[in-house]
Amino acid sequence: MLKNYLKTAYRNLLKTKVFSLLNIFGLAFGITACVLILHYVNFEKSYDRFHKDGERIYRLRYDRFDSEGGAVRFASCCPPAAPLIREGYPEVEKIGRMLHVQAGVSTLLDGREIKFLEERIFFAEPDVFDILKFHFIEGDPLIELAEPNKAFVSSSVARKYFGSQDPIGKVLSIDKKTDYRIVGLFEDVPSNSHLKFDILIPWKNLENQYGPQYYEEWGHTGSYTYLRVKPQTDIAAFENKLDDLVTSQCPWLKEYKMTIDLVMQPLYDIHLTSHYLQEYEVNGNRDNVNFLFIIAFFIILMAWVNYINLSTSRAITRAQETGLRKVIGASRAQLIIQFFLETVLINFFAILCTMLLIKLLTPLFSQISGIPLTVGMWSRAWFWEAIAGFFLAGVFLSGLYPVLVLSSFKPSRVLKGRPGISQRGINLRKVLVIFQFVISLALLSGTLTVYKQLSFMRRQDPGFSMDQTLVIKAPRVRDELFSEKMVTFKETLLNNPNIAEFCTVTEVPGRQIYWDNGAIRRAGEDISKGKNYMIVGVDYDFIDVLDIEMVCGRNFSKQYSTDPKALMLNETGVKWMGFDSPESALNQQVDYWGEIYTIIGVVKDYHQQSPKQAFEPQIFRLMPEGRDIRGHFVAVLNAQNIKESVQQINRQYEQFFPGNPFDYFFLDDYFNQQYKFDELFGRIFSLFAGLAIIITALGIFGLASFSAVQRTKEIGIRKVLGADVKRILLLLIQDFVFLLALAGLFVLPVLIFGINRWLESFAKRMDLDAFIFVVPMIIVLCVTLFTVSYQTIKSATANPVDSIRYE
Amino acid sequence: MIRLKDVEKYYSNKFVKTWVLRNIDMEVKEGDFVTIMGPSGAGKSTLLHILGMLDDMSGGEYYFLDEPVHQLNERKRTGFHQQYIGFVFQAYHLIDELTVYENLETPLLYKKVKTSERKSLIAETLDRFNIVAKKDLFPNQLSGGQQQLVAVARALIINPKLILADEPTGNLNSKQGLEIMDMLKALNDEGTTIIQVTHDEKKAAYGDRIIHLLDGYIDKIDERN
Ligand SMILES: Nc1ncnc2c1ncn2[C@@H]1O[C@H](COP(=O)(O)OP(=O)(O)O)[C@@H](O)[C@H]1O
Ligand SMILES: [Mg+2]
Repeated sequence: MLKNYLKTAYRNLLKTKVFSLLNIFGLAFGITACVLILHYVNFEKSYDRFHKDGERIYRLRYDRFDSEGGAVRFASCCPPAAPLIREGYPEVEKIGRMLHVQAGVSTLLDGREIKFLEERIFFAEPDVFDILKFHFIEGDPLIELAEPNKAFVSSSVARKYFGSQDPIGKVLSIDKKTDYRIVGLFEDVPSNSHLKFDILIPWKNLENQYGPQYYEEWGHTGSYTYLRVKPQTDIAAFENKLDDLVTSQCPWLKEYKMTIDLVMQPLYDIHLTSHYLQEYEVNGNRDNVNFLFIIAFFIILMAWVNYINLSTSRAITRAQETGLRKVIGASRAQLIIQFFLETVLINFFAILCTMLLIKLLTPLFSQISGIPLTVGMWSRAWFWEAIAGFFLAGVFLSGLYPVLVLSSFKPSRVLKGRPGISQRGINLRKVLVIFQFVISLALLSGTLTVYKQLSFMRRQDPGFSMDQTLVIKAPRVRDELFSEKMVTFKETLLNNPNIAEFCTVTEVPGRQIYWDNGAIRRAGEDISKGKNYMIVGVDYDFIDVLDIEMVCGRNFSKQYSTDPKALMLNETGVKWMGFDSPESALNQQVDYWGEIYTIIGVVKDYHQQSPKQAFEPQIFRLMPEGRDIRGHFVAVLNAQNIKESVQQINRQYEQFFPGNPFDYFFLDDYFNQQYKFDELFGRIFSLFAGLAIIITALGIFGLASFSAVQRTKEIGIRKVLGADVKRILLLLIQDFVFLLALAGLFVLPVLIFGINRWLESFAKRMDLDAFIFVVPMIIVLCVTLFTVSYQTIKSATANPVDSIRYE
Repeated sequence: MIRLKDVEKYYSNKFVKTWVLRNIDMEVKEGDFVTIMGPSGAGKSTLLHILGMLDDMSGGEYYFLDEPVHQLNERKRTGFHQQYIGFVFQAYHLIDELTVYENLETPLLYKKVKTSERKSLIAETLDRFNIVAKKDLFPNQLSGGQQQLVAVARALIINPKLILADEPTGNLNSKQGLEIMDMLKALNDEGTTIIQVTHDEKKAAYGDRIIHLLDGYIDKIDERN
């Protein structure tokens, strides 16, 4: 029996090759899109899940509120909290701190100096690795990190510095200040860890760097604090206890009318929801992930709808066979089995195709999504579960309707030559086509919106210039002669005809400013009026070099010996401090932690971050020598000989600041990096919109051919009567255009709502215009017209006599 | 074998009932050869479909081998098809995707006949209808007459007690038509009950009784012999 079924199924698939291929490809594209989205979603959701007992691990964050309720929220915490918590709170099993630094790292290998700028170095307490279980290959961090001057490196760092030599026992010099002996090795931190480090050095060494008072400062954030609590700990109650701890430790808060909140942030929430100050890396976005998930759902739905559509339209031709089988004794159950078997066969081929598609698309998708290729899908349980799930769901969902329709045919009807499908079936199919139109339109509009908003942001005047602007990390290894060296270095560079301008600054535009200070207020105001500002240390030339506009007042100038006690604000800072206008802020005094500064100028707001982010209040302080931590040199190059100029600067830099790695980037690249995530979203979106369009086209193709078959006789007769193909075509196209118009009407309000919702996360938003809605309509219309025409012309140009006899 | 009592059939379409059959009383004994005649649209096919349990009746009683068909569920009725009834239609109605051999095999498969028995039954039938050479061909590779031959063979393969034939020769030339009629006659002589629909007086003459249908009523019954 099975053989008979399979034979019929197989021959049927072959006989209606086009239909079968449409079915199979439609399903395959749908499932592929879904699996890829699932891959992405899974990856995003897998962050930090590899730590044992992760549901009991938290990161302790730090929020500061001023008297007016203004909040500054940090991902990091202040250093003194952890030791107190470690001692006095039995519900905490372990607590440990880490501090992120960048540094020039060098080593001697066979008498040769090897040096790199390392961006992922952490001072760490041993307990961190009792909480977060990273994979250590050699050395026990719990023991070794308790002692100073030891280091752990990742496998790739070991390879980078020492090649195939054993790294253990080798010495790394950090900023040429402190030497660390390598005592251990760990596997590269997985890409789905929110915390990523290459070199670990003991927390104990921190003292040398920042002095002992660093440990006692409740006002300073910057160290990441992780802790694991005992099972069944009441987190809310624990947070309340922490409030009491803060109150007892920081009596001065009262005076400032400020509050500090220590917040327990679940480890699992960090990657998708944490967007605070001093975040280690830009985290993912749960909204986007959920959004993609919904898209995946609709795409697979679409593929199934397609399948139902195609199969039921084909049911007409199958009705004959079905009726006949009933007549010769098939029971309903036997028929259902047969049709399910066909569905199984189609879904099986679809799954095969899916595998092939995924195999082909994986490298491209990895490139688009940024998920490393090493995070494979094939070895994951979810992948096979998903494939099995799609297969079973596909068989049942998409098979059920045709199966029921086909097996419930009254054989008598069919045998008497009456249609086996009612008008209701046709209406259902129309609804399904509208559904597909809606999804395609929505995805296309969505894609356009993302791209338009991105280009809108890029078109915004950033408020500074970034052409041919080279940024170099300022030297961290400095000696007593640094000031003089700076001056001659600058002179040497400016004497070079390839280099137009030069300045030094603590933070170039391109990311959130890392340096922020609280409790700053107008002189004479109550201490409780203090607020948080972003601090930028600049030299005399910064404003000119980056072509930043002044609103009023003046820039720092060497002619004023008082300028070290002066500062500039940006426009947002002016408002933040409570001045009515930039002019009224001029010459006013600011109390900056007890020292009085005079406001000498107001800088026009420029985009420190991408226009997605709102402007933040900034204070510019004069620091002609820049800073060693996070200091930058900025050099504007002349358009010719960029490469050569970089080499020249490199040579000078090495000469003036030996021991410092030359690390540079171009300001425009750096700034544009910020669009990475939205661009990624746009690319993913357009990929799936493309797949949706293909699926829709397949669906329309199927329905058009169905209509064409239905109207074959009509078309035939009309042709005999002398109607031309054009008229017939028009007839069919009308139907589809009508459906498309309906879909458009339906989708418009949904889109407007959705797009506005998405735009909410952008500080600068484009205006909605008809373009976003009209273009998708036109695209879908074209696809529809093309497919319908193709089908119709094919059947209309068939010999009319054949088609009449067919009935 | 068959008893119809006051059978009626209508199609209702938005409150309008269209009557197709009314007041049908008839009886068919085992071994009968009954012919149904009447103008197009008289309800002949409908009557045949009701007899073959392909269609429901709107009212009345139908006994098949003393079983009340009007009260049976679908499974039981399917059982009757498999067991007792073979159909032949005007259009040959073979399954296009299956070869001659497989077409003959299908009803046996539905009936869950054992493989060995199935094979011998098919071989026997192929032999009897002289189509052994055609067994691996698909229906569209056969002429109309050959296809109808296969259709008859398929109806017979389950060894039915009753054959229902709806204008079985309608699409055939007269020579092919006569062959089929001779075949039915021969079957009838072996004891198979046959009910056929035809327009052709000559072919009607094969039966021993002719039921004339007119607008859904039995107009008159001609008994031969
Ligand atoms: N499924 C149906 N729905 C509505 N009317 C039907 C249906 N089947 C048959 N009819 C009508 O019933 C009448 C008898 O049909 P039929 O039994 O096929 O006639 P015959 O076979 O005698 O030519 C016709 O008028 C036909 O239009
Ligand atoms: Mg008829």
